[in-house]
Amino acid sequence: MNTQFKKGVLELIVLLSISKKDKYGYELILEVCKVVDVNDGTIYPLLKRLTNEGYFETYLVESTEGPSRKYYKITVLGKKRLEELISSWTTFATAVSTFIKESK
Amino acid sequence: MNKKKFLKLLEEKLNILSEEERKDIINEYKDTIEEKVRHGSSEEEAVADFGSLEELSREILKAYKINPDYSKKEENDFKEIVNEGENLIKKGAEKLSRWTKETVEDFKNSNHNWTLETVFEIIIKAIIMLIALGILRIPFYFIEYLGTGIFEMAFSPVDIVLRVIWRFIISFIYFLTCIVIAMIVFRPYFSSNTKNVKKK
Repeated sequence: MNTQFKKGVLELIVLLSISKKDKYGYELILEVCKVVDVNDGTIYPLLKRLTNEGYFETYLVESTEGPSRKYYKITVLGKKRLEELISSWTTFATAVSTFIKESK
Repeated sequence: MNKKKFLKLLEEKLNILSEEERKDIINEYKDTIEEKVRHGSSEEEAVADFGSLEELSREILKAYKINPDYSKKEENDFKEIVNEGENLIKKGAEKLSRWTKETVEDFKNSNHNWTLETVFEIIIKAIIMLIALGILRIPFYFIEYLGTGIFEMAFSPVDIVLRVIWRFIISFIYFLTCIVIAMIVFRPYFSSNTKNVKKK
């Protein structure tokens, strides 16, 4: 998959994934990698940035399997951002698909 | 790279962040690696999944709106200071070695001069010095004579002893004066370095 597309859409995927269900780091990586094949390393910086910008909140949960896990939860601001991104993406994807169809 | 090394290196790269944030990030990566290991990966594989450590730390710092090149800049500044220090030392060493070489060269050259010009200089100076010392003898003699005269008049029977002592003292002083003058006159010729420093 094209790297440019991946980068652009990663924020959307992360926001969407967490909006469906609160997740911790590893969980998120698993789901995101099902959609797009990205470097795990890029996900944390993104998570950090989005949290710093107020789209996520975090909380800790005690775990039986090991150390306590940090869960990410989407905020109201995050939900708004997600809507914007989905809207832009849809517009964009539609425009491109239409153009391809017309050009055939 | 294993987990420990990866985490250590990452921590170093992130040292510009506050301790709280840094610890938080390191823990996240640690937990993820451990989770992956629990699910069957090796530590090396889990770490490799993260990609380049350099890229990673850059992206993390950007998330804090920190210029990732800032920490590099500090490194560079430090390197600059070290380089400048090294340069100064090198310059000092260079100057010192150059000065030593020149001095040795001068010394070699002056040795040649020693055989001709300088030798004549020495002879002439020695003659003048002897004349001067000869002249200098006069006041010393005068003092000596004065002293012995007084002793003769005042301490008639014992004066011989006093006179001898007096003569000895005066002669000794005269002798010392001669040596001092000789040293002043001839020292330049025996330490060519001083001579050349004066030349410069």
